[in-house]
Formats: sequence, structure tokens, C-alpha cells
Amino acid sequence: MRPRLNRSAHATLHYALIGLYLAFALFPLYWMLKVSLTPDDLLYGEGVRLWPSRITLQHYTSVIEHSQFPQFFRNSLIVSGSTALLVTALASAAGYGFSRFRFRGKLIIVGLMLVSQMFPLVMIVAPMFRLLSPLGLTNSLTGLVLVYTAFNVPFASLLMQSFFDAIPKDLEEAAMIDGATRFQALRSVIAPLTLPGLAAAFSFVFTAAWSELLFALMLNSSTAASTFPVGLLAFVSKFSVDFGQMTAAGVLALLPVCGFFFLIQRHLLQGLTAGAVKG
Amino acid sequence: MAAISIRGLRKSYGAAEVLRGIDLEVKAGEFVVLVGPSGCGKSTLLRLIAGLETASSGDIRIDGKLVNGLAPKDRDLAMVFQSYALYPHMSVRDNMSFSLKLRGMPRARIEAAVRAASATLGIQELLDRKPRALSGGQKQRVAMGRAMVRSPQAFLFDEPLSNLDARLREQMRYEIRKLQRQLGTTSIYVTHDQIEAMTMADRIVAMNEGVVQQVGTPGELYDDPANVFVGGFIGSPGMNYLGATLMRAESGDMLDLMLGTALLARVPRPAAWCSAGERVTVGLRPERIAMGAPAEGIAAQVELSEPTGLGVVLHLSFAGQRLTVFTSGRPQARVNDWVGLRVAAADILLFDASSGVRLR
Repeated sequence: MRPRLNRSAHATLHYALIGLYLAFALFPLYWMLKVSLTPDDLLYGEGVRLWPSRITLQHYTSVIEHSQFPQFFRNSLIVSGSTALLVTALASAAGYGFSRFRFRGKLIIVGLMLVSQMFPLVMIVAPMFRLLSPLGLTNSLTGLVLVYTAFNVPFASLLMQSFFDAIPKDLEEAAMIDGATRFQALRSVIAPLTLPGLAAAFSFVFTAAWSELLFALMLNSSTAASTFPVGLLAFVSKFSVDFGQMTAAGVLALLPVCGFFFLIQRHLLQGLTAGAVKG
Repeated sequence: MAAISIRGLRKSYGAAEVLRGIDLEVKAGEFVVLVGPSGCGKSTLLRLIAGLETASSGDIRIDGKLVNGLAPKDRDLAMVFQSYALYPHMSVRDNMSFSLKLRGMPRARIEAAVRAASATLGIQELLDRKPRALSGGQKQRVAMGRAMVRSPQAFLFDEPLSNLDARLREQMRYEIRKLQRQLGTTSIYVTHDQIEAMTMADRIVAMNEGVVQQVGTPGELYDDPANVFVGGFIGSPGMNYLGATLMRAESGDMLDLMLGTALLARVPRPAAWCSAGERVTVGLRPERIAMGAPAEGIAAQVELSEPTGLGVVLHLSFAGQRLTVFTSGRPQARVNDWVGLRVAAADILLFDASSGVRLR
């Protein structure tokens, strides 16, 4: 009797802790949704309430119709999507190389890649601006894509390497003995098995680029080349903050990321747990 | 099927020399087993033949054709891996037809070849399953099927039975051997298990530290080992090695083999023998030692008795040396009892005490 009781108490505690964490993590999102639906006149008038007495979609319509948010949104989509594609392609090639080949200088390259992750980005903003400016890559989406790609490739390569490491070499050797070239073996045997890894790398880079503010703000000043995190700042004026519209824009910006994660979550879960349990 | 010929093959990884000059002739249709302890270079040799590694020097010829520079796919060999290496995302059918598709064989012929191979192996029901839904033995069969389906020049096996339990291993041993006889395909089989080597091989290649120690039939390696390594590696329980001295006997060409002060046997003088009082290593197979009453031979004390069902392995001590005796009877001797040991001169193998090379 006692062990069972113990076990169920254990499970309850388990879920209670998870629930507590979820509440803690998700509350800001909930609050954002709540504020975005609260009419302006109730925002300060009602005090702190979990749900307003009246809700409105007013903030959403004005964000979509009267602000430049759709433009920012499109820019973000282009920048994050291209960065994620580019990084995933480069990182999977690099990861495969690191995992499968022995070559001179491999340790040094991996070491340098790790070092590149250690700098606080704010230190590099000014030199980066100096580099990109004469090339005409400031105030341009291409510039942002290049910068984000450069910063994400090292980590994504190491991530992809661990996925390739988890795939036994025997498999591609078997394929090569079966009559495949190394590239055919990669394409028809290894690539399908790395899909979870590709999904993990892609989504990691996509979200990182999607929410990046520092470089987006410093390298681009024109509205035409701004991404949505920069756009959010537009709702802050000198004398007031338009919380309603700002949170509505935030909710809208979350949607594609949520949708994207929903699509790939099965692969992603496999990918994130694949390294943990070998076999 | 093809003959495989290896000349002066060497392989180094940096400063570490893994293969130190291998010469080997595998005849067409022959089943050759490479056996040796971990790290002896047997798997490296197999991978060199497969083309998965490149040789530092030396030649590999398949059917007379030099293949050193050929990619694995152009050597027309099939390999069965220890891990089976089945493609996890493909069904059994796709696993088996993968190599034929790569060769651009028409679909109907692929289907026929897969059907024929799966019928031979009794895996027709498994064709639509994914590898993760198969048991160890089934995976092993599929791996065999994948190798068989394209009738390669030779099969290469890299410890294919190591992941199976003892009973299944015994069964697969028999099936692989039967299949190979039936197909007549040249086969090179790597294992660290001397029983697999003894039971399956036409010829065994015993390897140690990157060097071929002896090549011969299972019987030759067992009865007539070239050195201490081969004698000790082949056979279970392993060969006994005792330190002894050769003394000149009264009668002409015979020598007295002394274990301490006891006369073990009178043996013919080996060709390489040089002087009286020379130290040698004596090799004795545990089952060739007869036991009797303590007075009837060299007295030894029983330290441990291990019944195996088939017989009993007795661990004995004699003048500070240890030896094992295997007897198929049910010996009366208990732990701490004294027994007398007798050995026929013909069953005694002599080895050089320092180099371990057989003295004949």
C-alpha cells in the first residue's frame, strides 16, 4: 500500500512542479494576450484583473491597417527564413565533415568556432557596422542575413555534428559497399536519418533570427529594412507607450513561430532527444 | 566468386602500425576465418579488402585484378556488419533491393532476386517491416539477404554474430556455413571467437599484433600450432604452458623433458635444439593429459573443479605451476586431492622459451 501511495504522491509533486514552471513561463505570454485585447479605456481604469470586463480587436486592426507592422513582419520572415535555410545548409555540410573526416586543423577550426561564441555581441556591433557600411550592406536585409548566418553557423555546425555522430558510420559504409558513392550514401541513407537534426537546427536559427534586436537596430535605420523587433520599438514614443498595439503586434509576431513549431514538433522532439539515448 | 590475393599489405595510423606486412591467398569459393584478439588488425584487414580504408603499402587483388585504388562500390563485394547496418528508414524489401536499384536493375528482376533470397533465408513475411520491428536473429538474416541478393564476388563478414545470444549464435553459425556451401561464394569472416573460427572455417588465419601467426585448417592450428600464441588462442580450455628443461638422455637422439626434478617424458630431439639444460616451454592440451593415482605419474594437487556437463575441467597445481586438465569422465578427485598425471610423448608440443616459436 505505502509504496503505491508514495508513488502517486511523487507523481503529484512532479506534475505540480511542472505546472508551476509552465505558469511561470507562460504568464507573460498570457498577459501580452490579455493586454492586446483590453480596450484602451479599461487598461488603467480597471486595476489589475486577470481578464478585462470587455474585449476588443481594435489594437489588432490598427496594427495591421495603420502601422508599418506588415512591412516589418515581411522583412522578418525574409531575414529569418533565409538565415535559417542558409545556416542549415552550411551547418549540415560542416557538421558532416567534422563528424566523418579526419583532416589537418580540425581541432583548431572547432576551437575557433567555439571562441566565436564567447564574445558579447555588443562588442562587435561597431566593427561590424564599419565592415558592412562601405559594402552597402547596412540598411539592407541581405546584410542582416549575412550577419545572422555568420553568428549562427558555428553553433549549428556543432549541433549538426552531434546528430551525424549519432548515426553509425556502418550505415554509410554499408551503402558504399552496396554500390553507392559517398554522396549517394549521404543523400539516400544519412540525410533521411538527419531530418530531426535539420529540423532542430532550422528552428533554432529561425527563432534566434526572428527575435534578434541588437544588430537589426544598429545596422538598419530605414523602415523599409527593419524587422519586427525594431518595429515594436515604434510603439514607444517619447511621452507614452502604446501597450495595446505593442502587445497586439507581439501576439501577431508569435503566430508564425508557433505555427512553425507546431509543424515540426514531432521531428524536433526526436531531434532533441536523439543525442541523449544512443541506439 | 573470386580468389582474393593479398601481398605485403601494411596499414599505419600515424605512428601506430596496425598491419605489418600481410600475405594471404584466399582461393575461390573458400571460407576463410580471420581470428585473433581485439586490436590484432583483423577488422582493419577486412576493411582494407572492402575498400573502406586505404592501405599504406601492399597489394590487394580480387580475381587477379588490382583493386587498391578502387572505391568500395566498384569492388563488387558484400559485407555483413556486426551492427547489421540495416538502413533504419527503409523496409526489409528496400534494404535488400537498395544495391540492385543503384545498379539500375529492372524492377521485375529486383523483385525476383529479393524474393529468391528471402525464400532461401525464410524471411518472406518480414519484407514489409522496418528493421526496428525485427529481432536480432531476423536482422542478421536480413543483413545476409542484403549481401546475397546481388551475387557478389565475395562475402565479407565482420563479427556478424557477436550481438546474438549463445543459442542463436550456434544456429546462425550453422546457417551461414550451410548457405555459403550452397552458394559457393568466397567468404572472409572476422571473429575473435575461436569456436566460430574452428567450426566454420575451411582455413583459419590466426592474427596477433598485425601479423599473421599461422594459416591452416582448424585441425592444423589445433594440433600443430606454429607458436605459443596460436596454441593458446585456439582451443577452450586453453593450452597449458609449463616451463621445463631439456636434458640429454642416455639413449642417442632422445631427450629428457624435466619439469623441475620430475621426468615428464622422453621426447625426440628437436632440430633447433642446441645445448643440454636448455629451457623450453611445454604445451599440453588439457584433454590429452591422463589422470590416475598420485603414484602413477607426476603428482599434482586439485585446486578447483569445474563441471561443464560434457566433462569436467580440473585446475591443478604442480610445483608452483598451474595447469588445467579436461576429462570427459566423472573424476573422483575432489579439491585438495592429489592426482597423478601422465602425458604421451606425441602429445607434447615444445616451444622456444623466449620467442615462443614452436620447436620441431
